[in-house]
Amino acid sequence: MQLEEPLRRRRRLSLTPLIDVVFILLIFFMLASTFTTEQILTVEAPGERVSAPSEESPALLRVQVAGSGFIIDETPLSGTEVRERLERFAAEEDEPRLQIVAHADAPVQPIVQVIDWSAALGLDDVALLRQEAP
Amino acid sequence: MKLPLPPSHKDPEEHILPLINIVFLLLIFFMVAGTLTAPPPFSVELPASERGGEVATEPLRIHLGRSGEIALEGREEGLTELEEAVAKLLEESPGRPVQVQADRQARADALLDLMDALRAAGVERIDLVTQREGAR
Repeated sequence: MQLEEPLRRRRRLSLTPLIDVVFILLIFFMLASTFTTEQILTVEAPGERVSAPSEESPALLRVQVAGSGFIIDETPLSGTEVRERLERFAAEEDEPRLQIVAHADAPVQPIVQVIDWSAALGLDDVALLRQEAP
Repeated sequence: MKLPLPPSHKDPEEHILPLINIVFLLLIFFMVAGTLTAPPPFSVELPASERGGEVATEPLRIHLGRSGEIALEGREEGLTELEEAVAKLLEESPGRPVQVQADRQARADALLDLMDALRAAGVERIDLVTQREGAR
């Protein structure tokens, strides 16, 4: 009986299927991955502070965010006016406390805007509250 | 003068080796640099902010849609189910950061209801996700 002689050289592995698979993986990762420039603003989850009647202390500023704009001390203000007010407040007070009172119909963007400004001014004590039903 | 002939490649596949190298590099780039997350079943347009911290790794992702829809890790949930699910997940891994991706047009009461539910589930700090101003 004559056995076949083993091949002298193994055939090189074909690269074409490998490239196909790698291309498919590449396209998958290109489409599925996201590259948004996300960042976070940390807020405390509102606790008992929501229902507790907060005493009016001089070092407390209350910014109301309504659907139509910002309100401080019953006066409607524009964004830049609120920012200036926050700057003065942060500079004058030793322990500034900020309360953001959100009306039910206010969108998220202006609330985030106020949190953003207060973070920029170094205000740490920021509480997000719900506007009580009148 | 007779110049030596360039060495002839027997295998025509050798010409595509640099191509494969580049494709591999691109593949590794997309695998490492991109993040794969479960997208929410509704669209969420993040609010913009100038500053903000780095996004934590492996957070619990909660999405809040424009009209108040809520999704936990890409699955739509009601408020009460969400509260139970979050409490259970946090029991398994305490201290896991909780990330809320709220649409910029979502109403404040929807966000505050969500935050109240999270508070009830034992979450103390919430990471509100924003996108860098002017990024889009």
